Amino acid sequence: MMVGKKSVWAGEITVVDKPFLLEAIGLGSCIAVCLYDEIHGIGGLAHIMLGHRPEKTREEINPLRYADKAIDEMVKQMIDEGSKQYNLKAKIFGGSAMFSNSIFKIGDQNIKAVKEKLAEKKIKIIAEDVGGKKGRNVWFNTEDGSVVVGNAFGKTREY
Amino acid sequence: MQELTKLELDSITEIMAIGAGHASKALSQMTEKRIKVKVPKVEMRPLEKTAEILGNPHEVVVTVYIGLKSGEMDGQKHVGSLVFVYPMESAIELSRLLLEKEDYKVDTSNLELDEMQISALEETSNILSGASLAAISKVLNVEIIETLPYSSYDSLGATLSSILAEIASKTQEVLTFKTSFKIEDHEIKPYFMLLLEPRTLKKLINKVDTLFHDLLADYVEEEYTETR
Repeated sequence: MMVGKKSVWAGEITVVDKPFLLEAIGLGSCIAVCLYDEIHGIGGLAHIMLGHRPEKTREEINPLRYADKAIDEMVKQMIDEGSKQYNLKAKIFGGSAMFSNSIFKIGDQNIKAVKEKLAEKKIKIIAEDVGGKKGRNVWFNTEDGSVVVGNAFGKTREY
Repeated sequence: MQELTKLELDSITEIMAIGAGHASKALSQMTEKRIKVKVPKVEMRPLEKTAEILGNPHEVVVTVYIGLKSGEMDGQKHVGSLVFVYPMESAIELSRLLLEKEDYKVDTSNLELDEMQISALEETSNILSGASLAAISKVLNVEIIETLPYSSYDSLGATLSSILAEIASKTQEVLTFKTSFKIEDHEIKPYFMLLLEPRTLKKLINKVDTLFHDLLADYVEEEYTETR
């Protein structure tokens, strides 16, 4: 039975070992990385804003904004909860370009960085809805690993 | 990011109010209506929280983005962005108001915006941006160059977070200026925000400090002569 609902905002990660609905609202160029361990019923969501963290990044900047740091930290927390890395499966959503201008390249950079990091960790992506021009909202049900993706105009689809 | 003193915050708010005043004058001329302007709200917040505090992330809005470059302050580099947000009803109503003056009939039964309406809002934003930046650059004595306007028609959360992501690698906190307008007899309440690159913000604060330092110096001198 669903225990509760939690919003995961940009630059945050949340890991739960109970049935929760984890939501990520207002994904534009940001990406929601949903990791699920079906065997142990452990789920995590990272709401990332940027790709790889450059070496010279200022200390004070929240490392969880970055795809590589956030995924590392989320996997670590899931293993701490009793998960095994080889059990993890990923579903990824977001990374769109909201403006018709080529200076907005962050969405594409984010998609690339997330895929590279997951490949490095040998975590398979089993579903994705990335890129395009429209924003997304994501609801990740950690009871069964299913994800509902909706847009601002009320259209939804299950992954 | 350095802490701002009350004087610095007040002076930045004042400079923004001048910009907003000029923008509202331009809007008033375009619509031939009276405009009410709210005093700008200036806030320094962690970047992650900015989209939430600026409004309801689920709300569908038309957003027009204008990039800012400055020859003087920062080479030819990007120094900030100006973001105009038109909530749905405001977007429909304002574009109708503007287009009807040009004898273009807007289909009011249509709840979606057509291309003409979007482009009317882009054009409006461009004019408002020009008016407010001209005033701000005059006060600060800097040259600001605008990019073309780019629009998006989506939720506030998805749009703003994408704009904020552009500076997310450079700063933990963001200073936002938000001002809203109300057009008489209409429920039209667009608002606009100015986001500055951290380095530009620092320069702006220094400039403000110097300006006010000079003003205060004059004031002290005057008082001295009077009391003597």
